[in-house]
Amino acid sequence: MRLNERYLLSTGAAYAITTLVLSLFNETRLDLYVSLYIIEYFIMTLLHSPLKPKTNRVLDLTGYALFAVFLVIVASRVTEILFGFRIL
Amino acid sequence: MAHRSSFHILGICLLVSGAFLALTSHFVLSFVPFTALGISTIILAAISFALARGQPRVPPEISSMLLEAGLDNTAALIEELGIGSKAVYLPSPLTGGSPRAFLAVSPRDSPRIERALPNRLIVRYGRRPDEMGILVTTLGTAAVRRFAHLGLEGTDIEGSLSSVMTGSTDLAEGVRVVQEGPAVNVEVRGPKLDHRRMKIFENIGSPIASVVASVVAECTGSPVTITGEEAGGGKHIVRLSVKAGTGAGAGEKTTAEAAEQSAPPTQAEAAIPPIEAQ
Repeated sequence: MRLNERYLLSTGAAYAITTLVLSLFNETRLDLYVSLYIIEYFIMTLLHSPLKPKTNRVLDLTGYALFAVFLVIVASRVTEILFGFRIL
Repeated sequence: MAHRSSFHILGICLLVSGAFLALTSHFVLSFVPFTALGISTIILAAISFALARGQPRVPPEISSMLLEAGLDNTAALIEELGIGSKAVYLPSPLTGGSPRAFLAVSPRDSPRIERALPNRLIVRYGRRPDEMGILVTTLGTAAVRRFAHLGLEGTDIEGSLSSVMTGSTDLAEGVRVVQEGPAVNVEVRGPKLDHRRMKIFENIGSPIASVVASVVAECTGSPVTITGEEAGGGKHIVRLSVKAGTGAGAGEKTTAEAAEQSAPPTQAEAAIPPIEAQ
């Protein structure tokens, strides 16, 4: 199996397992799911690096977008703890 | 219509199904695990689009044919010149450009290359009439050229080989390097380059060995020769010899060679024009 295919399949498998495990625990916080997906994305990308430069450029852009989402989730949690309201 | 790779089509399918699943489960079903699954599918779609960007535009069969055509031309040239020596892979500082393979006309064990050779096909590396050879472009030259912007010189050999062979070129599944003094043994796991056995491989090594030797030469900044190759069991082992201390241009010298070099040139040798240094 080539590196590209292994990367996509292992990321997909990680997402499926995460979803299955969290749903078995009756987890209903969407931000928790998304946070874990984002962390898994970065871990899987790092484990399968280096990829081709063109691929890396798009993955970097995706990473920036996901990191921004992650920051929003964290900020939402922080405001909830400090001020008692959530952004999301 | 532009050609779309399988990753591109997969990306579109994942994006559409992910968006549908996420929106439906969030607004209609109000079921969080399905919404999360939809979001994860959208992330997978982004990864698919990224992988589609890195797909080769030239079909692999055409690439293989181009490689064979190039090797056939080099083989014809080597055969016509009657060269029987093994190639010395030179780093870019010694070739005035990209790393290339040097084949000496006379079958000396280790041609002493002390300064940058001119960026030409036929080059002189010494003052004697038989100290000539050809500089050929190999598969390794092209592979290293892709990574020229990163500056491979002085970097870790295993890391650089992994970047070139598993990342950019997708030539292998993994690389392991064992270095013992001037000897470097490289184990290439899962090589993916199929090619027929050619006589030229006795001179310049197989394409995999050529890429390995070029990268090692560039990393060490020293000339490298392929001393042996073994293939089988999903592995390709390449044995290299790095001419230590030649990185700055100083060649490997035996006592006899050093004495020969220090001797004043004869009348015939003096008539030979000096090496065209760059």
